Amino acid sequence: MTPENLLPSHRAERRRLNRCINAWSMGLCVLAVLVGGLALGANLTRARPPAMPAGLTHEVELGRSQLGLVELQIEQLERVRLARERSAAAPRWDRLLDIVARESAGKAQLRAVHVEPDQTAGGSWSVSIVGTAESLQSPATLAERLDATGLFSRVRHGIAPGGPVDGRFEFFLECAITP
Amino acid sequence: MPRRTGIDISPTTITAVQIRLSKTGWSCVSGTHMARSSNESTLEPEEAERLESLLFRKGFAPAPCVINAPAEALTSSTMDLPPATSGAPIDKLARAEFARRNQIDASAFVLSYWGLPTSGPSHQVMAIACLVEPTDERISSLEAAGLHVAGVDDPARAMGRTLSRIPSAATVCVGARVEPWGSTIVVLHHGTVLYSRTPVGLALSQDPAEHGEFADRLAQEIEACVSFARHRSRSHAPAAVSILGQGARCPMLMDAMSRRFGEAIRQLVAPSGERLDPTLAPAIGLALLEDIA
Repeated sequence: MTPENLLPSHRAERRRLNRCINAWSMGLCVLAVLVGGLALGANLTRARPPAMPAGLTHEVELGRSQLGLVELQIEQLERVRLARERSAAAPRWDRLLDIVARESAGKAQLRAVHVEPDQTAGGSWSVSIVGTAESLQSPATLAERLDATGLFSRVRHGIAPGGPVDGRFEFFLECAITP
Repeated sequence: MPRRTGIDISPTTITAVQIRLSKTGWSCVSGTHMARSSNESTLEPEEAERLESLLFRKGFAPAPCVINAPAEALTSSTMDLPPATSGAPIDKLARAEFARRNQIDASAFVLSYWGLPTSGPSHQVMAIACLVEPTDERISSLEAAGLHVAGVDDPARAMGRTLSRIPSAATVCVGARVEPWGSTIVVLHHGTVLYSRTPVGLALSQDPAEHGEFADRLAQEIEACVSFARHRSRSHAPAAVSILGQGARCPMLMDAMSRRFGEAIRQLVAPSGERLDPTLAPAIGLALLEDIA
């Protein structure tokens, strides 16, 4: 059995081609609508995030509180550190004066103590001590004790030239305090 | 629901019908007639435009159209072909045999054939060829007017298609299309067109006095066709006769046919049971063509 349609074959072919073009165009339109719909849907979904579960919200709040506490502790520790740094930078005048007072009563007698900031190094102090001692050993002993206190970064001593006066040698001490 | 328009172009009238196809069958949406401006077979562009305008005014929706092939473009004959199980290139053989027998160029026509009931081992077919050139001219005129032609068919086979869709217990159906320009008789056996013929000089006269004689001649032709179909199908089952076309509107002719064939006369009805205008039958058959491009 052959087809019943007696339409000339070139016309049938043309109609078939037209139908294919129409179907292709329709397919393109449907695809464009689908892609557009998906893009629009994605935009809408991004604009409205899904609601967070109640338990998770509580955990997030707790975490934020803990973070706040830790930040507060860090701030306090930072303050303590700065205070300690400041206190370390300043000379411990109380201890220095205590040592000098004790030594003044001994073999080495101090005549003058002069404290001034070191002009060459910022934040440093220079302590100059002048005194007399019965022996040459006493200024060295005093210098060692001062050095042992740990207050000074450098301790240097010396004997004034000219020999003893009334049986006592004149000496000097130069100490540097560096923060 | 898809719609289909059938346009039957006869020498005197153009009949157009639009049907709506559904899962349960079809229904007639609208139908109209237009008188031809000339009785020539070719369709002038002006006439095609007039038809398109009429269809628009009558509420025909845009739909694929199926038209009848011009009478001069159609040739039919029966042929013996090898059976389909033989493995032979039957289509090529049929085309070559048809071209040889009718002395036409094998590339100049579109061929359609269908099997006929045979008692022996031979495979006999009825073949219709439609010449491309005259058909193309008619389609060009219609398409220039804005109509989309998706199918072409033999008007006799279209009429047979309409008759085969009418529920009937009859094995043999005969349809006679009676028009002022001539008559066509189609014979069907179990819905298959056995043959069709156009008796010479059997045209419906405008003079009612001649209708009695015309009815006698038509009845003889129909009886001859029924006898042939019964002989061919070796069946003596009751036959159904349908009178279609302008003749069905002629009371004298219909009375004569009723007296002659009695209960065998069958009306044209839609699947819904609605009675249809018998002049629309050929156009309905065209619209019912399933194999459209």
